Amino acid sequence: MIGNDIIDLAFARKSSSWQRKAWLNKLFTVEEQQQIWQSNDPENTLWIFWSMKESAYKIIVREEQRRFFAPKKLHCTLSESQTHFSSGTVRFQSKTYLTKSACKNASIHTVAIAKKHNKAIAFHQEILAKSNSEQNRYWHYEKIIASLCSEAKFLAATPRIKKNDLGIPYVFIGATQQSPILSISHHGRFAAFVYTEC
Amino acid sequence: MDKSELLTAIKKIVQPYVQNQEAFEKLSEETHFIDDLEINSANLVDIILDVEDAYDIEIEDEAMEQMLNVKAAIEIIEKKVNS
Repeated sequence: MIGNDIIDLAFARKSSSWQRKAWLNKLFTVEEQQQIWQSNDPENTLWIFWSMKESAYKIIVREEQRRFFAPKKLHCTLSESQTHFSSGTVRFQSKTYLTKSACKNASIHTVAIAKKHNKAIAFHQEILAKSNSEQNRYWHYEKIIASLCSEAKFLAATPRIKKNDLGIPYVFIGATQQSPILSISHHGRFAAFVYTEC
Repeated sequence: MDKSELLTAIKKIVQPYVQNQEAFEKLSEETHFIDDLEINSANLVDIILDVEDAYDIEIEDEAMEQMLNVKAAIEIIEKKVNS
């Protein structure tokens, strides 16, 4: 299982008032808040944590087929933290998800993988930036399809992406669901996606 | 406070965070914040804080967990305001 999340930091700054009283309290555990304030760049750290939670949450929704808004039930821990790269874990109930976050071009992109995979899993990931000419809200879908089409199994027929009632994307050819697990994220100027056969 | 007043109040609160204007125009009790209005999940917190400020209530984590659509938001506000 795989999940991903992208954050446009400029858009986040504009649309979320994280310095508002109680904002951090609603999203982050006491331990996470301590780590945020102790870090060199609290704003960046809080968005790394948020994208860790969001990417793991996407796996949980797929696994449990239900949605909820309980960010503090997902516990983030950073094991490695560098300027442009962080890795860590998100714990939810008895499950653990491994995360890798890349910070570049004023964006944070996190990929989460369910820990039950003992070996590294192969996946494809891309970050897309919206150009000024793209007005459609679903501008990134065409690019995701194009990427899927480069896979051997989709050379014969173009797949389409269909979301279920919970907003989880699945890949279809005709009425038949295909095997890649696909996770899509978009925020502000950016979109990102990952897919894997595992 | 009747339901239509609450609906109007919620509409005003969510407006700054809405990304799908078409769904916003048709906002009803059945409207989902993420699916229909395409509100970013981090902004759900901004909405919850705005609701808390507007009604001088505190929405605990348990109530917040279900606050994903207009109907749930109305129910939570009604319950809190009347308690």
